[in-house]
Amino acid sequence: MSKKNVKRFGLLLTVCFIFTILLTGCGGGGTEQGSEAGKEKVLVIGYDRDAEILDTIKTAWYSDALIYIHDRLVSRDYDFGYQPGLAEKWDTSEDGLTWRFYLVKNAKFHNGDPVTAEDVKWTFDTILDPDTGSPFRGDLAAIDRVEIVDEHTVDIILKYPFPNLLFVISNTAGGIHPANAYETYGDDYGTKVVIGSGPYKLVEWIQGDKIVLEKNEEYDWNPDWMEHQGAPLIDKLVFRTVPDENTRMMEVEVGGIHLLRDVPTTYVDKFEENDDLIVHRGPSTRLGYLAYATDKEPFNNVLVRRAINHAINRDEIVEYVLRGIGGPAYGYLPPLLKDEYLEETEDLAYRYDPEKAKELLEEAGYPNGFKAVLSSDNSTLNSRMAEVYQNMLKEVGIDTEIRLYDSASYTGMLREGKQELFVREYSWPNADILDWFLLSDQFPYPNHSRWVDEKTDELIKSAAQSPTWEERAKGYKEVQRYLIDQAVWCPVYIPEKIMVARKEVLNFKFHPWMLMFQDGFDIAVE
Amino acid sequence: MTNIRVIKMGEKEITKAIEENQKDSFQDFVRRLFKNKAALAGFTIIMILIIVAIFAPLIAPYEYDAQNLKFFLRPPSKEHLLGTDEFGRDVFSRIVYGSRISLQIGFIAVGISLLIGTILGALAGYYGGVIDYVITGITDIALSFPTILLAIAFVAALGPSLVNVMIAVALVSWCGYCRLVRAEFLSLREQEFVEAAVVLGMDDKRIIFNHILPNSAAPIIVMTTLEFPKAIIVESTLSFLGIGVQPPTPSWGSILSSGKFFLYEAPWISIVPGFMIMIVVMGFNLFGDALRDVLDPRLKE
Amino acid sequence: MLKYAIKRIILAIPVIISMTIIVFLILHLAPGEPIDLIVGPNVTPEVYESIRHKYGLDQPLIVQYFKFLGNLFRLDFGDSILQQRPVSRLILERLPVTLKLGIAGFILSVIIAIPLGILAAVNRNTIIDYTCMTGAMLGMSLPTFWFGLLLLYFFAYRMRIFPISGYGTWKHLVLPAFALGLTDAAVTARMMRSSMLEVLGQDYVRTARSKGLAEKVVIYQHALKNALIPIVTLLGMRLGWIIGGSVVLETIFSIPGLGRLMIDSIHSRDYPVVQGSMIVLTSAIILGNIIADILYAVIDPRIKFD
Repeated sequence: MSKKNVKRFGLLLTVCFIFTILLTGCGGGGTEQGSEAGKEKVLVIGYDRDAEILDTIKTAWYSDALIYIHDRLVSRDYDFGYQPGLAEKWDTSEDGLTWRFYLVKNAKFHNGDPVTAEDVKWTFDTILDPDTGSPFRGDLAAIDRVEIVDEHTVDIILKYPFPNLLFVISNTAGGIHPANAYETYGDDYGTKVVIGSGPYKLVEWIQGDKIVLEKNEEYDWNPDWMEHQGAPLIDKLVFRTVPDENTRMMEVEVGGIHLLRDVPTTYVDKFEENDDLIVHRGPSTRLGYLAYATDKEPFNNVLVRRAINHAINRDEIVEYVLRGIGGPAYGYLPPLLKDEYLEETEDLAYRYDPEKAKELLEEAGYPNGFKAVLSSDNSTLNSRMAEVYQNMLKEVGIDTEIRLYDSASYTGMLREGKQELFVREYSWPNADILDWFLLSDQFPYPNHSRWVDEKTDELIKSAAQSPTWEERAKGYKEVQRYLIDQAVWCPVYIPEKIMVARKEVLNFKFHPWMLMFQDGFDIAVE
Repeated sequence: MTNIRVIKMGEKEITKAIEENQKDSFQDFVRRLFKNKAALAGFTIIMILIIVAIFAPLIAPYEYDAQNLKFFLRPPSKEHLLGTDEFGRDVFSRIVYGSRISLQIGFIAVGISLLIGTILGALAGYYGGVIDYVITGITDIALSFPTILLAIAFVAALGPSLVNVMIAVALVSWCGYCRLVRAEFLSLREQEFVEAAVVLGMDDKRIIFNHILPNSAAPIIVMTTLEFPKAIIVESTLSFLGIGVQPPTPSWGSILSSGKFFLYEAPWISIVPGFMIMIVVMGFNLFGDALRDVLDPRLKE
Repeated sequence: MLKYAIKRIILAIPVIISMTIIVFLILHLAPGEPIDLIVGPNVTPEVYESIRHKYGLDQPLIVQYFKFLGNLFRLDFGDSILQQRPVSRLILERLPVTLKLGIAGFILSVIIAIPLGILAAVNRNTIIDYTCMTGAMLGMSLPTFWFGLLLLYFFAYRMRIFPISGYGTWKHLVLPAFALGLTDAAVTARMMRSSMLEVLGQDYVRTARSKGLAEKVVIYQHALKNALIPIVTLLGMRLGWIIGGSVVLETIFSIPGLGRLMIDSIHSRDYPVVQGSMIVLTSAIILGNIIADILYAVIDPRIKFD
């Protein structure tokens, strides 16, 4: 290297550096929030996890973006009531087997085609086709076939009465696609193209970073229960993925994100003190519980299970771990499911009583307690709970060793049946969660508590297949009464649903399941 | 001519001569080592770490897993020098106990990788040929993996636990020793005293362990000291990512990881362990550097 | 030289193939299946099996491996199980992000490290030398994730100078590149210093001095060019390190790079993605080493190819 070469080396470095800056400067598509041209209204929502594929038929991880891209036959109002969606009305045959849906006539897909009965049939048929491999197929197991009556009328014919159909088809997974979407759009469907009839259209998806939607100007088939009619007010929705919880929370404080749908309770105090932020709190359909493999020693003994239930100090957990934001759980469903929730849960509850727990253990033949493995996934709250449970169980003589797994290993471990005690949480707005977790034909997974019991099967099946919604609710109450008696799980807490929005977000309406941005949400732009 | 003289001395004499030579140089070595202030500083840090780790139960005012939910996230005070964490546990005690994990990881993981690396390197360097080719190939593979990713994959496969973290750390860090030992053997094999031993008819095992290995001890020791901090960093990174040591066992990485959720409410939980990692890593680096300067000037970057 | 390069590349092929076996085994040894994450909790055993079959996960391991290897020779990494699209496309989307971060970090580190190393060497055993080297020692001992977290906390959250997370503009890159570059700079600076010291002690430098040349001329015209030579090998050697470092930083700063794709895929057992990205990264590192070796030989006349 001569002197010249040294200079060249320096020059090369400088050029590289400038090049990198230029590359990064131009490469990102220039959608920096806030500095976006003019008065475009952009709402940024933060998530911990990105979509895997933007296709309600093929995914099991339903990105919220899909809620706004698609319409469903049935919508849910702010009180969890089933309301018209793409179907303006529906009726049921007397035997409860034929459901007829009358579609709204003016709805159009993003590609300009009208929404017809054929699209509805194609959507459900594709889900039900085993070759599609749709994870949603199991939920639609009650459907025998879908028949087109006329262009705007469609019949869903069931194999057995299934009052829960409205819930199932009003889920994100029930989004209606244009017929033959796979043939028309090929491999790009679900990544570059997604066609629905919803209030927002897909603009771009930068995998791992964000999904950008823009408003559907033509949208005017909002259900009547919505206050706002016509196209949404916010021009663009950006769904940003920020996997690190801490970072996500900081982003909403500095304004990189406008809205967070799931805020851990630990941040509430801090956010409530912040004038830039508005915290919205409401009841949730989440339930945290401590479970155990009920087919293994000593958890096959109901006395041991009750002892564990008595050992957990739920009030202390709610007060210090959830910071008082939420409540203790003694039953198997969240009270928000007001039709199905068993009112006398409180009276039947196994309350915190370490002495009683020790007595029960002694009665069960474990006067000195026992040793067990306590497993959990490594999510923030669950691993925190594991440590608290460990400490509380130690008080009554149950010595545990904690094992944390990443989420794939955790499900794998549960499927293989290696669990003893384990930490779980579910979030589901329907009583059919009990079918999934506790029916014997769901053994060994998702029936991870390995509860194989004839009486439970009988009770749940008769509830799920009741002809009417009322009878179904009654049936599920019976199920809960029995589960509490058997102490199949140890229910611990129900956290509040917490959302936080920056003060720029206007007309915020709290919805326990999904936010209806098309219902008049707005955002102030500087 | 020299060859003949060596053969005449016989094996015993060779060994004795080497030993005497080593004894003299040891005192000289210690004197030279501690003339270096950086070495002294590094040595002090390491000694303090070891003492703290051994006497953790005496130093820590509380048990590392003693929860008191009512006193969660208290700021530093007289009762709790570094405040409490989200379970009301004493952070100072946890950091004190955490030193044990760092040291354990350091000794055991580095020990395992040292063993694997030395054996493979010795085989490759001493025998050469196909053995050398195969071992060098494996080393190249191992060296071309990004360490952290490989460690994550290992822990994912083995399941997270302290032992598995140690194994993972060992499995990603043996190749350095292998390369070093191989190179040492390659050059030492050509030396007169080895040739002499071969001519005398000693078996390979004896030549390797009694003659070549002791002579390549210096660079191996230096490398071990410098591998310590790397192992500590890998462990803390794994724990930080939530796939390291299992709770409630405290490791500096895991204390930091759970503390980051309370960075604004209780910054001391995450700042102090990070600082501790830095200091300890620096201690080993300083000491290792000085050792290298004194023991093995050739190894200088 | 070309012959040497080709020889090195051919020798790398068995290395890459053995690596695929190792990665394949590690992943399949781990408990859990990607299917669990695709199907969610509400799946009947029948649907579960049909999805497993669709991805060929019900076949014996060895069949799966050779299928994978066969595809590999056609440069086809297969489809991601979770995202249901070609792995090669996923990698192509994510690789530039990691490369940008890596290059920015590397350049930053060179810009900091080389002057620092020269300064320390020239002023050997003075307070300047000690300060530089203590700084380097501190930098070397910083855990990357902690440093990244501190930068994020102070410069993005407290002072709000830079965005906290995400990717897109150069501003997003500053903090992670700095976290990556500074720890790297420490190592490079130390190397630069010793390399410079070695050169300064050599005969031709002494000759230059004795000829009465100005110290500046001696250092910058004669010594520097030779001292820089070993630094070039760093280009290749640090590549693996930089990728490893960026993995953690991508998680902290929510940067959608290859490292995060890989960590996510390891966690969700998305086998094809992990295998594909491991192969790409490892090949890149091997290639980097080869290029560095060649460069080294090109600029240093003392080294000859064999």
